[in-house]
Parts: sequence; structure tokens; C-alpha cells
Amino acid sequence: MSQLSIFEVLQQVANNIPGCLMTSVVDADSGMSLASVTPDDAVDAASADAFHSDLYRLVHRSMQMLDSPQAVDGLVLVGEHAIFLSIPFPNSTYFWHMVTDLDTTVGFTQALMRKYSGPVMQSMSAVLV
Amino acid sequence: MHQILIVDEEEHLLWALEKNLLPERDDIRVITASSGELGLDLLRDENIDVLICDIKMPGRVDGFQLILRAKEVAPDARVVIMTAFGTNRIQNLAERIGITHYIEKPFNISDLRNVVLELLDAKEGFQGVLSDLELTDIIQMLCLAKRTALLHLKHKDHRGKIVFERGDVTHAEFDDVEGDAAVYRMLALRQGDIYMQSDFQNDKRTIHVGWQDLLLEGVRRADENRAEMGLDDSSVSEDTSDPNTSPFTGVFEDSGEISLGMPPRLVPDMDDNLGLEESSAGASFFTEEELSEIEAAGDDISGTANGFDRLEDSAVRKLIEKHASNAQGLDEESEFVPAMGPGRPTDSSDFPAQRRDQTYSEPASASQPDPKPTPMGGISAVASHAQPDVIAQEIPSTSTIQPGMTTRTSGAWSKPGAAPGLGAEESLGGVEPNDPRGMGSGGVTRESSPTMMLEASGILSTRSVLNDFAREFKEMLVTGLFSFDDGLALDFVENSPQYPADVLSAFFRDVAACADQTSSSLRGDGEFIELQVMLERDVVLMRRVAMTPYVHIAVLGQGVRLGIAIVMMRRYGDKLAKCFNA
Repeated sequence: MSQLSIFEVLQQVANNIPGCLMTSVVDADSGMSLASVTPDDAVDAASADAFHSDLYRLVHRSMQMLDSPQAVDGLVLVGEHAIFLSIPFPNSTYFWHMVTDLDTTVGFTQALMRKYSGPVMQSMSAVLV
Repeated sequence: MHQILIVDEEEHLLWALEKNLLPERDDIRVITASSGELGLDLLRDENIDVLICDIKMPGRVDGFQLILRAKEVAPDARVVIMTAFGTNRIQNLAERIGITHYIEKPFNISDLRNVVLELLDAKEGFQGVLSDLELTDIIQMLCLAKRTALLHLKHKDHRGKIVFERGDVTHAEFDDVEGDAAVYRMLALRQGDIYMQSDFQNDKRTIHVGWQDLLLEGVRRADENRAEMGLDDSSVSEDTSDPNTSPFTGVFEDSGEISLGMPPRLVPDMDDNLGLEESSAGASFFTEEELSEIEAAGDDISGTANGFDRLEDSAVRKLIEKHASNAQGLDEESEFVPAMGPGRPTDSSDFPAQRRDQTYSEPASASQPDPKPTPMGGISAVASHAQPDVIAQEIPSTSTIQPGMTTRTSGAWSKPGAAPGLGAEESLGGVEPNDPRGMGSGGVTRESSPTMMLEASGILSTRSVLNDFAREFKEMLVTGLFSFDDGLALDFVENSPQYPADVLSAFFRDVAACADQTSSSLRGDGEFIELQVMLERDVVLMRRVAMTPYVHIAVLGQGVRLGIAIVMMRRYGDKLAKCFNA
């Protein structure tokens, strides 16, 4: 079976989360999306990815300044209209960004992200190599 | 050696002042700092006698914030404001935070020199008679002003001492009794002499409870004793005062006297059969203005004029009013000001050697006997060593007017805990009430903050909510509130050297701001409500306190049950919101 492309994997995940508004693989350094799937075209995925990557940088900087340089294992941001979840990929500057509506439970989304993190990482590596 | 700290962003001005302000005085050292942050560090580290600072300064700590913080870290430092923005508003703000010296840029160095010399050479403190004080009020005053002092008390053959260390009551003796019990005994007294000493050595600590608890317990016991003796307010209130006798008299070191008297609600001295009568006119020591000023002096200056400040304000007042429930209002015109003269019956002090000739700035009052002597039953006092920002009283002739300078007697804050008179756009922000680095491991908040008084009074406070929240998790490393506007810590409990409150607040304010942007990124609106940052070991949780400019933050260590932590944070967020909106 041929390996799914990163878009296909992201689309598959999005299809499994009813409240998924967008999902992306983002470079935390630049804020640029490597790949993004947005079931709802009205959302500004690029903007969400860019600001979310800034969140990573700020948290990282804060922990450095606090003399507690712990790596970030994940972020969950609950906003007024959406929930933003992300997990960084190990040994990489990229993170997986998932945005859902407020009705989707965080635990469910996280479980699916854990389930699909392997395939997403593989497909990402295929693109980056 | 006197030390003067000058804080201004203009480095050339600093250089000029450092070289030319007082070059001929070897006993005066001029230190400079080019930012509020540096100035604050120096205030903490050096023993500063006079702080001269600009108002408008870049950075997180501007002049007003520096001054307000100075009240905490260097309460004895006198402050001179210099600014090129000499608006009435700034003068008004300066007055309201108790700053008596104000100089507009540009100024001649000689003007500033005169101000500094006047401040250094002048005997510190105000002189005058304070009447109708409760001992509880005196203790509160010293605690709120974070004073370090030894208060001697004498009642007939009894001797007592209360030691205050930076606003904490740390030790007390009364005859052979020590600790809390000694304080309770003294609070039950109705008359005697007191004398306040500021240079003393004390290595003993026999009191480990907060002063608010101490006072409340003392009052409770007094009330119980009073009830046991079958006294009621009506029987007491019918007593009349002997105008020539003051139940308590005493001397404040170097300068004056204090005579104290209890309002009728306090328990009479059990062994006092001298027939000294209580007054029905036992007024509270604190006028509205004085109350605000005292709180301002000792207050941690939580900066914004919001509901929180109002809550503290009302709660503090409630507590103090509770202490003077039978008291009538103090008429400053008729009682306080005329009492500031040698006509006061102060000769009964048992500390004659400590008494000094008093000089009064008002010749009229010095030459006239007290036209309306202190009613018995009130605690009257001559307190000359008190800081002017602690005891705010208009004494126009003591003000110094220099060319190019406006000197004012201190005013009062209308909202303790906030920068009074500040509009929303002028808010000082959530000025950190605490010095997390200076407090050791005991917590980052100040014992004498009004928040603590809220606890003592049983009113829901952010502190108590945060404490309860912290107690929910043994993994709690630090939790508190910071201002979303400027990242200044407002109130923190628990303490982790790894997460100092001010640094945590400053950096995670940026994180919160970015979270806000992210939240609004999808559709252009919406703000962040909650953020969970999962780290290798710890978890940082942040949640906006609804309808306030504050963010609740908590850092929890390994092993925390994240789901429960999130849920609890939401619940406690509601409680915090109630505190602010009360």
C-alpha cells in the first residue's frame, strides 16, 4: 500500500473529528504551514498557524527566561469560538495543529491526534526528506 | 551616611545630578538609575533615604509605580517627584499618593538641593496630638505602614512591649506574660502610657499569627470579658469624659507623645478601680482621608481602579469600622488640629526622659491651651515620628515652597489599593503588591495587605480563593493573578524559586496576548479563555478571569491530574470573578 500524502492523512483525521475546523503541520520557527486541511473555507488557517507558532516561541522563550528550559509537549488553547490543540513532532521544528469547534471534546481530539501522530509524522518526513 | 537615589531616563541629567547635587557633602551618597526597574532594585538593595524620580519613564516600572513600590520596599524613604509633565493631574496624583515634594523640569540644581537637604535635615515625621485612638488602631496603623518599632506600654505598675517588624507583630510582653496573651492583656487596658522606640534590638519572636488575627482575637476576648462583666454599651455610653485627663499618654521617640484611650466598646481594665470613665464620644482614629492614606502608605498598591480595589476598600473600612463601632466621627477641626499643642495633658507620661520639647508649626495652637480637650475613653496621642504619608494632616506652615517646586501636604487616596483619581487610561496597572524575591519561601504576598484584612473580616478575597485553589493540589508550584494589560503580578500564593511571580507574570502575559491573537485569528474575533501548556515536567494553566483584566495562572508539577486541575481552575475562576465584581 502506498504511503498516504500528508494532505490525505490530515484529511482523514479531519474526517474523523466532526468539529474539526482545520488541521495543519506547521513550522514553529517560521510560522509557515507545511500542509493544511480546512473543511471550512471561511477560516483563516494561515493566520491561525502563524499565531500558534508564535505561541510556541513565546512559551519556549518564557521557559528559558525562567531558567526552566523544559520542552513543550503540547498546547491547548480554548478561545471564544474554537479550541486550538497542538503537539510538536520530536526532533523537528514542526508541530501538528488542530482546531476544533467548542463542542468537540479536547480528550477525543487528543486521542485521535495521538493515534494519527505516527502517520502524520511519516508523511511529513516524506515531504521534508 | 545618607543615600539619595535619583531615577530618570535622561542619563545626562543623572550624570549632572550625581556630580553636582551635593558634591561637598561626604555624608551623602547620590546613586542613580536610568530606569524604574533598576531604581526598584536599588531601593531593595540599598538603604535609601530620599528617592527622586521622574514620572514618565519607559519600561514596565514608571515613576508612579516606582513610588508606589517604594512604599513597600523602602517605606522610610522620602520621595521627590521631578517631571517635565507638570500637569495638574500629575500634581494631583502625587498628592494623592502622599508625595509632598514635587519639582518641575527644568529646575535649578540648587532647588533640588534645597529640597533634599530639607528632607534629610528635617526631623522626620509630623508632630501633633492624636486623640481618641484605640490601641487596635495604633497597632493597625503601624502594621499597615509596615513600621519597625518597639511600642512600650505602661499601665500603673504594669509594663508591656509590642515589637513590630516591617508591619508584623513579632513579639509582645506584658509583665510576665509573653506572646499573644500579652497582646490580649494590653488590648484589654483602658489607660496608660505608651512610648514608641524605633532603634531597638529584638531577637525574640513569640507571635506567629498575623496581626489581623491577633487584633480580632483580642477584640473577641475583650467583648467576651465585657459581656461577662455585664457591661453594655448604654451603661458605658452614659459616662462622661473628664476633659483634663487622658487615659493613655505616651511619647513617640524623639518627638512627641501619644495618649491613648479606648472607646467604650472595649473591655474595661479588670483591676482598674480608679473610676476613670469612658467616653461616649470615642471616635475612630481614622478619618476617611487618614484611612486611605494609611492604607496607601502600607499598601501594596494594586494598581487598577477596578472592582477589586473597591472591594478591598470597603472591606478594610468595614473591619476598622467594626473596631470602632461605638465611635463617633472625629471632627478634625475641633479635635485633631487644636490638640496639636502643648496644652495637651502630656505631662503624665512615664517616660519623661524620652519626652522632648515639642515645636509646633502653628503658633496659635502652640500658645493656646487645648480648646477642646480629648474626651476620656479615647486614646489620644502625640505622634511626631509618624511619617507624613501615614498620618495625613494639613499643616500648611510646615510645607516647603521652593522656586520651581510645589510642595504639598499629603492628600489621601479615595480608593486604597488603587492609584486614586486614575481614569481607566491612567491606570497604573496591576502593580505587583509583593516582592516575590524578597519574601523568602513563606509566600510572595504581604502579610499586611488589605487582602489579608479581607480574610480576617471573613469576606471573600482573591487571596483566600487562591489559597483554597492552591490547597487543592499538592503539586501546585505557584498560582496567582497577573494583569493582562501590563503583565504585573497582582496576587500570588505559594512560591517556587523556579517560577518567581513577577517574571512568570511578565512573560506569560506575552503568551496570553499571543493566545488572544491566535483565538481571534480564525475569524477575526474572539479572545482566549484558557490555555494549557504541557511541559516536560510541569503544566502551566492560564485562564482569563471573566470581566476583568486579570489572568489566573497556575504552574503544577509532575503527577498532577490535569483534568481535575482544569476543572478546578474553571470553578475557582468563577470565584475570582466574584471577588472582583463584588
